[in-house]
Amino acid sequence: MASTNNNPKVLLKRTFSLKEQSSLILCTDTMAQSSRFVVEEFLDNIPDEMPIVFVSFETPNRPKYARQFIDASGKTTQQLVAALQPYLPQPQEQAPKMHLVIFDTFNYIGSESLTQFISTIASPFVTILATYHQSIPAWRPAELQNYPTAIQLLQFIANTVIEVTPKTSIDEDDLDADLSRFVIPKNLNNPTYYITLTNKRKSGRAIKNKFLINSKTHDYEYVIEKQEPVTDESPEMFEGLTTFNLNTSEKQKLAKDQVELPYLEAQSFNSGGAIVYEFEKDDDYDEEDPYEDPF
Amino acid sequence: MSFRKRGEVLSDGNAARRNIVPGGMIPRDMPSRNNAQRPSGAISRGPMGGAAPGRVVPNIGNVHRDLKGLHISGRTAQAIPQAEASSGFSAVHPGIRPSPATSQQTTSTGCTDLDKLMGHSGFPLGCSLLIEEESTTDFNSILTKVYASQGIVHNRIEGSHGFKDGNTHLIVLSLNHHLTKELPGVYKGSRKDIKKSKIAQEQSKVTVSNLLESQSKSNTSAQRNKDLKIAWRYGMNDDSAKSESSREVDQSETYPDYNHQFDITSTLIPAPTSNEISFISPLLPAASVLSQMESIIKRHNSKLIRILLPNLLHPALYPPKMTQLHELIPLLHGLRSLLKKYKERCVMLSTISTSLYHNQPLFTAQIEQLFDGVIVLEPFGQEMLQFLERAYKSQPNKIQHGLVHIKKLPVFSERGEMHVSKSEWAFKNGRKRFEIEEWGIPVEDEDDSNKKNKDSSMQKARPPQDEHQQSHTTNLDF
Repeated sequence: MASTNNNPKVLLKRTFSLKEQSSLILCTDTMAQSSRFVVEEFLDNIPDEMPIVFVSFETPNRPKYARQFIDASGKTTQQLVAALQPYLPQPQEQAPKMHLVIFDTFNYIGSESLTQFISTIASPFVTILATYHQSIPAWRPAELQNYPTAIQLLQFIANTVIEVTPKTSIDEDDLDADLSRFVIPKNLNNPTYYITLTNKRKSGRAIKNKFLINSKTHDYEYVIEKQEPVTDESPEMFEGLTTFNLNTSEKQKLAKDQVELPYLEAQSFNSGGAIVYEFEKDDDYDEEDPYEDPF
Repeated sequence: MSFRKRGEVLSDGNAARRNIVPGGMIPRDMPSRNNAQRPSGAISRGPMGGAAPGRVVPNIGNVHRDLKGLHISGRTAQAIPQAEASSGFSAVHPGIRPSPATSQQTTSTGCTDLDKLMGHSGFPLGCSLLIEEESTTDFNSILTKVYASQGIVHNRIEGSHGFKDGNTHLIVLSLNHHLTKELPGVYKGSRKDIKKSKIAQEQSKVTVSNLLESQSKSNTSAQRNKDLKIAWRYGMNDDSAKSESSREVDQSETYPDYNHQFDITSTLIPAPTSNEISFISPLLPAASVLSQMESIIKRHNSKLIRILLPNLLHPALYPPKMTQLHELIPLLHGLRSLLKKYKERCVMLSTISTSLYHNQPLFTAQIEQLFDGVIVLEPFGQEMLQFLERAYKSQPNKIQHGLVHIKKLPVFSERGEMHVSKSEWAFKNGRKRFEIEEWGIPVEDEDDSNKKNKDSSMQKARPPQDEHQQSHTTNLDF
């Protein structure tokens, strides 16, 4: 139960250094902000000796950090699995090292073969770090019209989902509208950006946290989503609305607050059941008589 | 936990059977019943579960069933006319009772609160229920496991011969054969109760050490008698308390084995055998799934059949082609027609995770249409849980885990009654039960201190009234 109170920053650190047990880490990015910096954050945090396999669909250029580089373009999933297999921990190994397999994108694997593909690669000693570009439209065959889309599937399977959003001053809707017309505003793809980290526990319960990441300085800042404070009625609200004077002065307000509403009276049970008897002038009360007790 | 392990080593075969012996009030009447049986320890075939007191109607059935059991084990199964077997079946099954709403025969889902929610205090026979879950959590698996366990426990009620020819059979449409090892066992009271009953069992056993002890302490037998007497007295008190309490308790007296409470941290021992549970791969063509299922139903022609279809269309278990309507609908429709064909002794439970299909409302609607009842579990999000944790700071066991929506109820919805309730119920999952209760937003007392301040300021702000009250009191003093 204490789970929801966990320090989010610690969780982020653990995620970046792969200490949090997670077999599939999914980064979703858009045209506005690439997940490249997030992947670099991971590389910055993991131990140096960890074997890294880079599977590339998009570039023939081998990144510096990759121990193994697999060019996946044009390969079917079976061929890709066959190419990957020698670099993964073998089942006969006693205590294999943690392996990191980075996919530059999952967009080119069809949703129909995605779950099978991931389940063949995944094992307790392999962490898959993959990106899905949400700006690329997905095509799916007519016979799979009821099957979930690739992004739905990935978000369902992944233990950790990192959604990357840019830090801009532009309104979110305006940005979407611009990008959909391929109007690309300036200052996107900054090394400073927001991520929304969704972490799924074993039970499947998801915990979401938002962070501001600075990839230059490797500073992580936890962003608390601000709630719109409920504004109390203030005199300024009525200013200039009508020609009537709707304002209340301080004195009037105080008087208004002091009015005891009838239902409040009914709720106070302090004097419940007591007989309240008020003496009047004409009442004849004999102090000597013990039986003449008005109560 | 460690205590249970020690018990396993110590006890003989009786311990295994004891796990099976059902009944909500085990902790109460268990020791006495055991003591009663101890002298005739070798008798294992007796109608153990049936010996519960206060059960009127099913007792007759028990005799009948026992005779039947004798027939089968003695000579041939064909000795009983098939018609009698199927007609005699539902009247005598310990897990069947009439629905309080429609007096249809119903059986338990394994979860008492879900039974209540269904409006029939159980599953009307011949009906199916779909449980949808709206996020990646896995609360539905608890309900499926409890449902499966309940079937197995019903099957074993009559003691050891339940293994051979019991009264219930479970058919699971899944490839996950590990399910048999994950089924929860019957809840046996709190840890204290278990310890007590263990001690009682150990003491009542005829072992060398116990005999020696009894020789050294001649008063142990007297002591034991005294224990018995106390147990008996408590029993009396319980009975009188019961008769005073509500009708519901009465019904649980009449149908003591109708449903059981399960402890999800324990496992059902011994694990169900192939005679109690059968697996069918749902990936086979629909026609062969259905023919296999029908042959199983026919083979167990005197048993209640509980069908379980867990994690329907889960991407890890089902290939993508199963989401095509021409693959899925024949399967579900065929299952439904089998249910209706053998409606006097079949029920079906299915679960689906709808988070993958929420943008295909037509698709889910088509699935829902093929089920008699549809219940949705909607686990709370992070903010809601945080809020609940804050609100129930002092009572953490009150925190609910999600909402329960009802889309359809068996029988009622078929008649055209509208039973749609959204956000009226909430569930919480604990070790010993899956509870469903009425949902109410808890009052958050975070601004307690603010309120106090306000109160004091208000009191300060109304001195005239206080004066008035004072004048009252002076008057009274006078």
